Amino acid sequence: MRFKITVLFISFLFSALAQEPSKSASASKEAKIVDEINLSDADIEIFKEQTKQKVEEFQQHIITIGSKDQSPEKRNMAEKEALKLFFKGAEMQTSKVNSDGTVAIQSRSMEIYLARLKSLPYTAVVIKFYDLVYISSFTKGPDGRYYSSATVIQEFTGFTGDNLVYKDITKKEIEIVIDLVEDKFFNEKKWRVFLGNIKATETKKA
Amino acid sequence: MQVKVFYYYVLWFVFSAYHINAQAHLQSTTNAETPNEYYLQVKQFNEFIDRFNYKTDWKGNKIDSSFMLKYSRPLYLSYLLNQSDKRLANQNDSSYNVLCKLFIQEMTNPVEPQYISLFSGQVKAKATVNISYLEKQERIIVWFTPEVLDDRSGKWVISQVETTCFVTLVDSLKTHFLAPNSHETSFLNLNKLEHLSNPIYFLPTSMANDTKLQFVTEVNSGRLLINNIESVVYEIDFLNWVITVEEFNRSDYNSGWLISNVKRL
Repeated sequence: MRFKITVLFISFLFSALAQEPSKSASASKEAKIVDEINLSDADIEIFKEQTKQKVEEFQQHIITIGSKDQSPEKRNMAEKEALKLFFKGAEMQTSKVNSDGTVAIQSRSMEIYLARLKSLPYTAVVIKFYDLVYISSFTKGPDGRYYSSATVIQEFTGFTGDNLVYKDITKKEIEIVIDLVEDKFFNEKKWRVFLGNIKATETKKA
Repeated sequence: MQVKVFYYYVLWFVFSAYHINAQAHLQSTTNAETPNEYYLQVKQFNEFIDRFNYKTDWKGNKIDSSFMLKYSRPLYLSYLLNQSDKRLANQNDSSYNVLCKLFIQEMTNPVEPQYISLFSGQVKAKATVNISYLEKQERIIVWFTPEVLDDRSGKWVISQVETTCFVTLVDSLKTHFLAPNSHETSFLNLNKLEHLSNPIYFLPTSMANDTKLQFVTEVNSGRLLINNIESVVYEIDFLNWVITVEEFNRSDYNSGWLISNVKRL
């Protein structure tokens, strides 16, 4: 009886894990690189793929948080899940070029940035990300973590009623940190991708 | 101006064909199709280095033989120059044009091609930093250089700080010091260090006058607040040449991190 319960529990666990493609993808390859200090080309490709997945996950959360069509529960959940992708203390710095040519720079914690995104003064918001995700090479830091940055381009449109009242295109540089974290359940260490500070630069206003 | 139009024409014409092919690989993750200008834009400084070194194409993929056939390194490198520079556009003053051509020739010389390595000591970053110090808003320059450690890891370090806002610290060197007879009392007055507003006063004068040390100690004491980083510019040294790389934030094929100045040493 105990054996049957154990088998059932393991089956349930595996089916639950299968629901999260970003976590299960390349798991065996992750294990392979745990003890390696220097990155091979193959490892870099794995890191790049995982980074891309995390960035896309973040983009999806941003779209949900900003969307006025979604239920408040779904938007709150997306906000919570988005924050989990970041290192604690991550900041969002935005810069805009004023009409007089000066640059206005503002920094906010990621918590505040995401909370503000929910309460923008538009009746409808459309956020699109371009399919381009540029990821730089990974460099080892003195703490043993690997550092990189990803660039994504976001198109934001705000409507009041049927009228388009604001549109801009911003380039976002996202700091990427790959850290070796302990998975207590499996009693092993795994490389995990975290997002760090983001620098957002407005490139075009319509 | 003709050079600019030529590059636009060539790049746009050939890139169109290349881009159609590239899009086929991107459908699985598409949110919205990326406008061509964002592929051509040099989005990161690392991307600038990879393009300069003829390592990656516009999508960040490794350059292959078919790309090499379409774009030689001199042509690819020429597009890293800020084409909106009036010195390039002005046909009456072609000295900068000639200088840039010469620079590209030397960088791409098949006998001794030159490349950029971020951690080799040839790259410096110059940041314009807005600070609040003693209730005043100031703008200072902080230079950073990459440092490589024994375990082959890397980091940026502050190599220099340019500012005149630490004058009061220099003045204080005359009032806070270990007296010249301190040795006779076995340096008992060393405990004054615990009450100093800045510990650098007891260091050699050359160190105490070092603005980067003053900067870090003042930040650490909470008297200096870093408001934001206004801009970053890179200087890259080569044999006989120095180039400046700046970010040109504009809606243009020739945008992003580009060479804003070429100087022969």
